[in-house]
Amino acid sequence: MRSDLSAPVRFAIATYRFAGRVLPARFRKDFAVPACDLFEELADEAYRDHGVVALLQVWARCLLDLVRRLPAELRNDRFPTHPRGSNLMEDFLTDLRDAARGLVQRPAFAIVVIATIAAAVGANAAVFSVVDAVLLRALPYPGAERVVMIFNQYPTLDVRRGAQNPRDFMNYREMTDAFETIEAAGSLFPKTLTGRGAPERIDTVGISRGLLPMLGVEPVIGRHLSESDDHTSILISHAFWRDRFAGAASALGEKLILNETEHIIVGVLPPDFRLRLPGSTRIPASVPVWNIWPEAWNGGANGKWDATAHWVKTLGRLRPGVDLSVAQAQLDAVAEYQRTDQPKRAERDATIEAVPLHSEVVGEVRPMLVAVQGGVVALLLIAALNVGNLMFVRGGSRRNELAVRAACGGSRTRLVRLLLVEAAVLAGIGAACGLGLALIGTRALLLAAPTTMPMIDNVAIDLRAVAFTAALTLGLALFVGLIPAVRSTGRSGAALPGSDARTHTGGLGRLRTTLVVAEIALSLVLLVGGGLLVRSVWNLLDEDTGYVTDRVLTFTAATPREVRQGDGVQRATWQSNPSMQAYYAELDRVFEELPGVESAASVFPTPLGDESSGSTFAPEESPELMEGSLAASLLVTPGYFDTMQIPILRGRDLTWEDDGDKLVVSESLANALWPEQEALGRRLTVGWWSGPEPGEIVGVVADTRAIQLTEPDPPTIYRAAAAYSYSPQTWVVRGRDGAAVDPAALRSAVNAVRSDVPLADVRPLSELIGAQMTKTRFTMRVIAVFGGIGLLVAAVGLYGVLATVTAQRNREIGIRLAIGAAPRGILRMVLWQGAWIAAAGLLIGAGGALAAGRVLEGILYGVPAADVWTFALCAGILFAVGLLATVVPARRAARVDPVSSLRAE
Amino acid sequence: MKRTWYLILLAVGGGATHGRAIRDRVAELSDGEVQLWPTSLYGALRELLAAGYLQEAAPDTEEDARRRGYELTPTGREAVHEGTRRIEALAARAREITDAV
Repeated sequence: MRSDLSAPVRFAIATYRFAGRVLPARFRKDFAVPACDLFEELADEAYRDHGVVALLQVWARCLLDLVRRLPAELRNDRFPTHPRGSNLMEDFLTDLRDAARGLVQRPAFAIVVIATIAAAVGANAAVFSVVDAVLLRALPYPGAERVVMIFNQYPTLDVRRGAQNPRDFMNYREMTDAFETIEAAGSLFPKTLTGRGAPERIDTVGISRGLLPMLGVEPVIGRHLSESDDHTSILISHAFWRDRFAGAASALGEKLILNETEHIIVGVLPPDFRLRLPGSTRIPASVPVWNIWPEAWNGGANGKWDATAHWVKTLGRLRPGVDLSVAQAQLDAVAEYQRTDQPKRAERDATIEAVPLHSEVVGEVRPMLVAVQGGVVALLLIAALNVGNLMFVRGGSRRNELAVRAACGGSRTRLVRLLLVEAAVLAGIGAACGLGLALIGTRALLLAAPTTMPMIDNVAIDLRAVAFTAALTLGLALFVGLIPAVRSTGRSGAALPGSDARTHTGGLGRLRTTLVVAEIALSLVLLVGGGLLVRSVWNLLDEDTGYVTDRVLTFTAATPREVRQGDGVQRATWQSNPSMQAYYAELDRVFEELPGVESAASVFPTPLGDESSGSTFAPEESPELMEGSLAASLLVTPGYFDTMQIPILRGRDLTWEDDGDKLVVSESLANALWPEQEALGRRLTVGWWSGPEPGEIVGVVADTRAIQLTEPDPPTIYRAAAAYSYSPQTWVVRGRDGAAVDPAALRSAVNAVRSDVPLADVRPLSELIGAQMTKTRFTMRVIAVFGGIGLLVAAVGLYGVLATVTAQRNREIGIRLAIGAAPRGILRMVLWQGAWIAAAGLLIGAGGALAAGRVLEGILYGVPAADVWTFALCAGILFAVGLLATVVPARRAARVDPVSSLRAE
Repeated sequence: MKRTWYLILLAVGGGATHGRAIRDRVAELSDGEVQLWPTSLYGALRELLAAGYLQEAAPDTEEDARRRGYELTPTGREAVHEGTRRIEALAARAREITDAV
């Protein structure tokens, strides 16, 4: 190279020269110098005359030319004079043939390696595909990273994700400018669809006009909700359109009768649109009917809002370039304003927080998915270590072959290349099988995943994950597999047959032992994780809910409007509506008359359902205690406690004659307000939806877990259902011993009372309990499967190490036996060896499992992350399996025939 | 005969003796259409040497001694003539057809 060249040209020449090495040596010998000279000349000229772009062009063209010309030159070089200068392509084909032949000759080795790689690749790709779809991929909205959710927080009530009052939402719009737009959704509102066959329950959700445009949604036909629309204009989902209108454009302008009111379809949403809101909002991804919630969005000047009702879920999109912290500061100012200038409102101690929508949506499932991903990484490592181990064994047993090859003039690079090709073939086949497994695995994960998992419908196999896993497994396998090759070719002749290769296994044995120790350690981590989760699920299943859960069927039946409106007479809010009273009593009677039904009652909200309802409360004499106290409030009909078998501790049940001013409270509420005193007969002020109202306590019942299985309910207040005209009411029906309640019978019983009331969500209460633990159960299943595979793979690894180490010590064992060692002693020696390896792995694994337990802590229930019994049991299982894996090689060693083992040398 | 071969033989026959000169001459003869990048150029030269169309030339000057020079063998000269005759024949046929169109 000339010395006056500039740096880019020098670099280009260096890379070109390096690339040129792929050409056959004979060509290079004759033409490398002139070709490089020519390149230098062209490159230098291009750079001087036209700059770096021209240089890049020349460089790229010359490299491309080299690649194009390569096959012709390789063909021309068919008769290598020396392996060092041999033809890459030819060699590769030869290696491939050799590798395939070698693998076919040792099918067990090949199958185990391929199966291990396939399991690791399959599991990893499947899990990563889910993790990617759920956690990593952005939400499918334009500018999704700028969309935030805005929550009210009430530190004194321990509410972190509170919804807003419509007024709050208007305040945000008026008082902030960090957002392009602020929009909102109301609550999921089930309505009764009539006039199109049998009455049916249809979910609807009220939204602000700009919500869907903000999320970049365009109706496939029709239009968005506009200024001129009121709540009777609706958008329908694509699925609803397809099912009810066969996808006909004539659906536009059609009328739907929902809760006895005509609604007009103005647009159809696209098929792939899903509203991704956090689970805490209780709004599912697909809702069939969307409309405007009128009071909320029609200005608000009329001041009609009930300042205590909080049901608005607010979303905003930040202006481009505006940081979340800026928006947060503005919202802090709004919160300050609401505290000082609107002091009547419930927001006296509320703060406002903006959270990126994506992190909020996935936040609930993140610990679960992180645990699963952690588990699969552990499995991957076990697999990689094991494949490395097997390659090592194979490399070790081929030292003679490699030594012979080296002695016959096979170059070191050539031998290394042979091993590389072999490993590549294994990894390639393994990855292909793994891809198949990943397809099955992903489907299995989707089936097992909780239905509440966000964006689960977005999952697709991730080829990057397949490639990455295969590469990682292969990389480790190569690293380990190459060591024997390098060793046996390093000093020529050092490892020729008949030399001391067989007896000196210390170095190789140590490395391999380390690998097995690591495998066992990782397996323990997986097993303990699985074990802790299994115990959590048991604990959840065992949890005393405080009520009967089997033989109870739940379903919802709407209360028709005319029943709710009754005789039209205005009543005090605590007074029961006679028509509702009569309706509930009538349904109660027909249900209880059904054969197989022991008892029936109505309740809102559904036990263990998606909804909950909270009310503030205080003794009537000290209303200042209202702040900072939150009770669960339930609307029930008489007989609820009997149906659910919740013990009435003192006093009595509500009766059909009771109005809304009679209350039943839970034991914990009574104890909190009047410790050591009788609560019966005392008066309590409760903040109902309709405002604070006093009531008399007529009964005290036992505490339950009706909201979440994992936590005792807060203090609970029960009130007569007929005192509040709310439409969707849940029924609980307990069957007699050994009799199943037939949903069809329930349906016809309802129809006998009212033909326009649909029955929906019919399911056993036990199913709702199952739904409460899907996250724990899902994680448990996945981790347990990984633990099982890990255990198996680690056992294979332990067996492999001991089998080969013992086989390599054949001569030593032969000598020991020849000079009088007892076979029993040999057996014990090998068993001890296995036990030591297992014990070391378990010790290290216990440390790892302790750390892993931390990750799981959020999902565990009723079992500490460092549970001694789980650790002991898992370690015991692993140790036992490990010993089992050593028995075979140990017995084989004990049966060594001293004469033949020595003669074999 | 391959077009590249013919062009290279033509270039060498026309007095270009070294790699760079041959490359430039071929580009000129083909109106810039054929650009021989290093591997292709020397690959083709190796083939032409092996086929006996070219031989290495004795260096003329001291500077040339560092580089490799090429000249036509009698076979190569024959090949050039043959190539040109073919092109002439093609040109004549082409002319007949073109005139008739």
